[in-house]
Amino acid sequence: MLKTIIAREFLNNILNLRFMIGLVLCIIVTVACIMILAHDYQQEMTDYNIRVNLQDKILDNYAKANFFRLWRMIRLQKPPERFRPLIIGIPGNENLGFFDDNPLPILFPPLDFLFIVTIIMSLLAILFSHDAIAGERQSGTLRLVISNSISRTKILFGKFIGGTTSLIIPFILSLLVGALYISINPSIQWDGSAWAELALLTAASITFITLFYLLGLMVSTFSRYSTTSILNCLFLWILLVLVIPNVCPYISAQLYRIPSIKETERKNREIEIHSIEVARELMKESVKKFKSSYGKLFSEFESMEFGGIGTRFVLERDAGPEHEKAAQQRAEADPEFKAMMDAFREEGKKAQKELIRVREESDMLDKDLETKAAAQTKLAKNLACISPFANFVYVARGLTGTGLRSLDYFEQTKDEYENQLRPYLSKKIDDAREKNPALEEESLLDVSDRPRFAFKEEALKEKLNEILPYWGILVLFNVVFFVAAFAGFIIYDVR
Amino acid sequence: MIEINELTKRYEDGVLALDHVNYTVEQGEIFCLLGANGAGKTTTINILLDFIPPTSGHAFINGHDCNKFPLKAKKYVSYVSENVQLYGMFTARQNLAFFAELAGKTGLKKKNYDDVMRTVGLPEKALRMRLKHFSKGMRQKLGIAIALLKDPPAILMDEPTSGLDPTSAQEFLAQLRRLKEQGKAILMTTHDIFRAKLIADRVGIMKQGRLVAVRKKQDFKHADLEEIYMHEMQAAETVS
Repeated sequence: MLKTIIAREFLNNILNLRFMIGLVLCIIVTVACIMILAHDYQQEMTDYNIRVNLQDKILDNYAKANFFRLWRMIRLQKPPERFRPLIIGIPGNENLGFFDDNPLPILFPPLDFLFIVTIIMSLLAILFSHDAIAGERQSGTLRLVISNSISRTKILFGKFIGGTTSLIIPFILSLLVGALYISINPSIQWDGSAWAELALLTAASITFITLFYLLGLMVSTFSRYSTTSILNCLFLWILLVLVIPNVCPYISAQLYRIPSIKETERKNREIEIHSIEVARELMKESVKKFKSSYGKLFSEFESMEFGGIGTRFVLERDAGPEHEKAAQQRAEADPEFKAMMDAFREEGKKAQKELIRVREESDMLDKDLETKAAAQTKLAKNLACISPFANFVYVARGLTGTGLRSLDYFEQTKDEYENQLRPYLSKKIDDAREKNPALEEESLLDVSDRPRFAFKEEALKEKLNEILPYWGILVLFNVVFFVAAFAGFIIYDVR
Repeated sequence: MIEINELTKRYEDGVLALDHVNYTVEQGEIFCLLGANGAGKTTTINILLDFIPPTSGHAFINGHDCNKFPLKAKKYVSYVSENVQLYGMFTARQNLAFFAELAGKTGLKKKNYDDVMRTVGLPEKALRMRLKHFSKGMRQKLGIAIALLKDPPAILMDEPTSGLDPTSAQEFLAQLRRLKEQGKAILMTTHDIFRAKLIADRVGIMKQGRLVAVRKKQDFKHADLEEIYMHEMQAAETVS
């Protein structure tokens, strides 16, 4: 009997005009979206390869024997996400300039797979289910169905399965067409794990779509008329999809206040100025003290611009290399001069230490801001979990590596690579100096055997660990809406 | 087959729709409930089909309490409403198949559908027509066809002739006689005293939730049923 209800619900939906609209809309939008995004992906991939090759070429031909210059030359870049043909990821810092070229993605939500599922499919789900009970009551067919020996549980369950099946068919069909396009496109190389992620993404999307179908069904069991039902459904849709996820960051900002970035920057600047003044005062006092203690000898040292020691604080500029050299030679010839120079170096170190101590305060401020901002973001993220939309976005972005976590993961892999690169560069420069003591910083260095950066997607297992709680919440929403629909239907007045 | 025992229904707004009503409908009998709007006729049917629970008393179909064991009771009954509404996008055959399957009748052949269409006076070609193209008379006939396919011992009819043209109404009454001959117990609510006189074995007259009189066919066969109805209504008015 359940099969009969399922078949009827399914047939009734697919004979309906809204099914045809849904099918056509889904196929056109999904396929068009995948084709456009695949083209963008292809372009971004080409740009990325050009940038990487250019950097490699520069490093191979123009690497200098200066660690810091070399370090600055190596800029690691995040490749376009492999799910870019489906979902537009969050731009990394290096891509922020993109806004200058095309501001529309900032003004309007981009049309991608997430948009199709969260907006188009969720609205279609509501359109399919809002009159499942109220509409049948109004038309009078519900009385005739219930006059038979069939339980209301079976009717509700049959409506749910039949209705969601008829809704998911256009979605799966359009996704299959999209997957076919991806598989035959030579510029998109997906491995087994990418296809597994797509399968999981489809399953998560179905969980999200059934959730909105059940929302419509639930509202329908508490409504007498389908017009009331659709209005209530739309109100809830706006609340769950548009209001809650957008309001949560504001609530979080109110609950967990953090200093503004500008304010922190201002404080940091003050600390910087103060620290330099403190170091300067310390060195000026030392100069006075040394003048009275060493007299002429120190005047001679002063004429050599203190051998470059602490000149930034005393003279407010760097000493020339000839002064450093002259002071060094003088110290080698005269032990007394050397003792004075060493004592002055100690004073310089003290000033430097004071400078570092004060600057640590500034670092603490930055760190504090970072920690608080992370806590605020976490709070907003957790608050938004009351919206199925937010949970689905976390699942979809987490699974496809297009969310905030992917940026963190990129930073992590970048750090790992830099930890390999740092000792390599130091050793390379040291070895070159050992071979050629006259090696200058402007000399070319062969770094062709350097470790290469290859970004690998995060393992599926790790991604699943991250997304399963949010997926669980989506399932819980399904259960809650079904139970509420059941409770409503059991006491529903079919007259 | 159908037994109404001290059945009372008071709605949430305080309206007493049924007040200790008692009667039975036997197999091979047509029992017509007459009464003005709000007399409690449809409420009785709603309780028999478990659409609403009674406040007190019981309703039985084939010995099964309609409130305690509704699924068992509904196995033995079919329902034809005042305005049979079916799935407009489905053909008549799809509608018949759906409701037959709900009634547990699976594996019906084309012949079964053709026979039932012929029995209710619908052309065979109507089987392939979508319900949205059916007239009210055709829908009522299809409602009977659904009831016939289920083939239960009891049939509940709520104002089934309302809105039917005279020819369709005559055909409908002929159909009821055939069902009666098959031994079905038929409980029919109606305003139509003229047709009740033609078809009923007994009539029950209801007023403000009370069954004020039950008359057998021999009581009204040669009398004016409308006069009896008015007389009973006035008597009930005097008593209350």
